Amino acid sequence: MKKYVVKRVLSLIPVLIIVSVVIFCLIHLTPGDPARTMLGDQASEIEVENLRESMGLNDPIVVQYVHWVGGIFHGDFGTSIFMDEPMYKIILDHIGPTISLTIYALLISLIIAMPCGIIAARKRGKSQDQVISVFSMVGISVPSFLLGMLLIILFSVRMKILPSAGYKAIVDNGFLKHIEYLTLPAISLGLMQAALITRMTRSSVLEVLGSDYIKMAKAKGVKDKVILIKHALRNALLPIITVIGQSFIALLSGATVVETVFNIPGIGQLVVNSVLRRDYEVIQAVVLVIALGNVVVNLIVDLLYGLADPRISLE
Amino acid sequence: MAEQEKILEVKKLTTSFKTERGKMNAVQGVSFYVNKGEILGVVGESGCGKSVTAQSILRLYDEKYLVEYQGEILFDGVDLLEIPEKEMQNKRGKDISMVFQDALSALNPVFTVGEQIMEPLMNHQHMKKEEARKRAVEMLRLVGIPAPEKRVSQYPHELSGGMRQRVMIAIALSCNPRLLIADEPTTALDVTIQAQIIDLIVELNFKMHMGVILITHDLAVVAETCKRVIVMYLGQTVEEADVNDIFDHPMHPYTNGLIESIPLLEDKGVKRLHTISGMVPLLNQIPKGCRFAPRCPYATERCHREMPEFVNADGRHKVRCFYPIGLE
Ligand SMILES: Nc1ncnc2c1ncn2[C@@H]1O[C@H](COP(=O)(O)OP(=O)(O)OP(=O)(O)O)[C@@H](O)[C@H]1O
Ligand code: SF4
Ligand SMILES: [Mg+2]
Repeated sequence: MKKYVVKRVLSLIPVLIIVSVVIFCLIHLTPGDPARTMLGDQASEIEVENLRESMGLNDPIVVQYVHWVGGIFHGDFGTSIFMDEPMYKIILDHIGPTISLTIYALLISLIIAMPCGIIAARKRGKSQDQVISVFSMVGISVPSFLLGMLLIILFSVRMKILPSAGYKAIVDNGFLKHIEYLTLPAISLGLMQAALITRMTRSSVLEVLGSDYIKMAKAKGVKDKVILIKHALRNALLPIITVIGQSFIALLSGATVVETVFNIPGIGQLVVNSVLRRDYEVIQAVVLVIALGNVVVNLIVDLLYGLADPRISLE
Repeated sequence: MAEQEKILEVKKLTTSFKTERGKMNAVQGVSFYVNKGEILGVVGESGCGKSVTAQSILRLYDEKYLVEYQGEILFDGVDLLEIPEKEMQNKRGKDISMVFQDALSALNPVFTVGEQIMEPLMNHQHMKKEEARKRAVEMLRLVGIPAPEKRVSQYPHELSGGMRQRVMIAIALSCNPRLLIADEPTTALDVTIQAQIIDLIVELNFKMHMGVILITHDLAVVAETCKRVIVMYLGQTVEEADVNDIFDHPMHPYTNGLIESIPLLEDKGVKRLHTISGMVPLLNQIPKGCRFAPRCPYATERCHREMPEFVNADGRHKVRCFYPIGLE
C-alpha cells in the first residue's frame, strides 16, 4: 500500500511538468500585454517598456518558464501584479470558500442521488422510476447559473428564508451562518451532478441486481433488503466511486460560475478577476493548484477503489 | 420395488417470462419428482429450460416484474408456489439449496469465502459469528479444500475454478438441505476437475442422504451417477425413466437421438456420429403440435396437429409421444 502510494505520487511528476508547460504556454501565447494593462492607456511606450523589462517579460519564453518553475520549488508561486500579498496567501484566502462550496455541493448531490438511483433501479419501469428519470433529465439540462437565479428569486426574494449572495467564513461567523450562505449556491452547483450520479447509480445497481451472485444470495435465503444493502450496494458502489471523483472535479470547475452569481470570494472569482486584469501570474498559480487538486482527487479515488474492491491489489 | 417417499414433486409447472413481445413460456407443463436421498438426472439441449425449472423450484425469479408460475411444486407435501415469500426465504438455502453453473460469477467478489458460507448459517441456524466461522472451516474441509483455515479468509478470485465450485457446494450444503439442485455444476471446469466435483456430489448425497437434482447436458454423467433421469425438450419433459431403461430402450425419438449421439469408447471403426437434424426452434416459434415434430424422423400429420400428453408408457417409464419407439 505504502509502496503503491509512493509509486503513484512519483508518477505524477511528469504529469505535472506537462500541465505546467501547457498552462504557461496558454497564458503567455494569448495576446494582450500585462504591462500595458497595468499602467493603463495614458502611460507612455517607454514606461510600459521599462515595466516589461523589470517584470522579465522581455526574456525568452523558455527563460521565463524556468524562472517560474524554479520559483515554485522555492515556494514562490509568483507575484500578483495587483494584489500586495504573497501568492500562497492569495490562493489560500480564496480556496477556502471554493472547497467548502464544492464539498457541500457534493454532499447534496450524493444525498439526493444515491437514494433516487437505488429507488429508480428497484422500481424500474414503475412510476417512481419515471418521475426520477424526468427529474434527472431536467437536472442535467438546467445550467447552474440559471438554477442559481431561480433559487434566488424563490428562496431569497419571495420567501426570504435564505440569503441571496455573499459569503461568511466559519472562523468569523460560525458553522451555521457559513452553511446558510452556501446553501443556495451549493444546490445550484450540485443539482446537475446529482442528476448524473442518479443515472449512474441506477444503471450500476440494475446491473448488479441482475448478476449471478445476487441470485445466489437469494438462493441462500437472504432477505431482499439485506441483498440490496449488503450484496448489491457494495458492488454497485465500485463504479460510482469513480463517478464521484469526476463529479468532485466537475464541481470544482463549475464553482467559478456559481461563485460569480452568488458573489462568493472563491477561487473562481479570483480567476475571473485575474483574467479581466490580465494578472497572469495569479492565473498561472491558480490553474496549477486546480490541476494539482485534480490529480490528488484521482489518486484518492484510485486508493478508495482499491480498498473497496478486493480484486484490486494496491501493490 | 417399494414405493419411496418423495421429497419433491413438480406437477405441470409452467414458468412464463413477461417480455416486451408478450409472455414467453420458457417451461410448460413440466412434471417430475425426486425421492428422498435420490439423484435425479435432468438432461436436454441448451435452452430447453433446465435452469428455468431449477430456479422456479426455488422461486428465484422476480415475481413482480419477470415471471408467472403455474402448476404445483410440492416440497414435503407443501406447495411452494402457494406459500408467502417470507416462508420461501426460510426454505431457500436451508431446506433446498442450489449450486450454480459458473462459480466465479455466482460468488460475490467483495466478500470472503468464509463470509459467504457463514451467511446462511447465521441466518437460518442463528449461529454466532465464531461458531459459524468454525462451521465454515469444517464445510471447506468436507468439500475437500486443502488448508481450509487459510482459504476461509480468502476472496473468490484467489481460488481456482474447481475450488470455487467446491466453495459453492460448501455454501449450499452448510445447513444440511434435504434437496440440492446442482445446475450444470461442472460445465465451467476441466474434465478431470469435473469428475472430482461429480464424485463429491455423489459422496455427499450418500453421506447426508439428501435428494439431488443433477442438471447436465452430459448423458455420460447421468449414466454414471443417477438412477432416474428426465429428458427435457423445448420447455417440456419428454421422457422419464430409470437410467438403465432409458439407455437400453429410449422411447422418445429425441432421447433416442441424444443417446445415439454419445461417442462410445468401445466403438471401433468409422461409424459416423449421429446428430439430431435441424435446429431448436426459438421460444416464440414453438410448433403447435408436438414440439419435436419439425425435427422428428417419425413425425406424422397428427404430430403436427396435436400435442401429445406426458403419459405412463411402460411401468415407471413415461414419455410424451404418440408413437413411442419399441411400443406398438
Ligand atoms: N430471465 C429470462 N427472461 C426471459 N427469458 C428467459 C430468461 N431466462 C431464461 N429465459 C429463456 O428460457 C429458455 C430456457 O432457458 P434455460 O436457461 O432454462 O435453458 P437451459 O436448459 O438451462 O440451457 P443451458 O444448457 O444453456 O443452461 C431460453 O429460451 C431462455 O431464452
Ligand atoms: S409425437 Fe410424433 S413428432 Fe412428436 S416425438 Fe413422437 S413421433 Fe415424433
Ligand atoms: Mg442452464
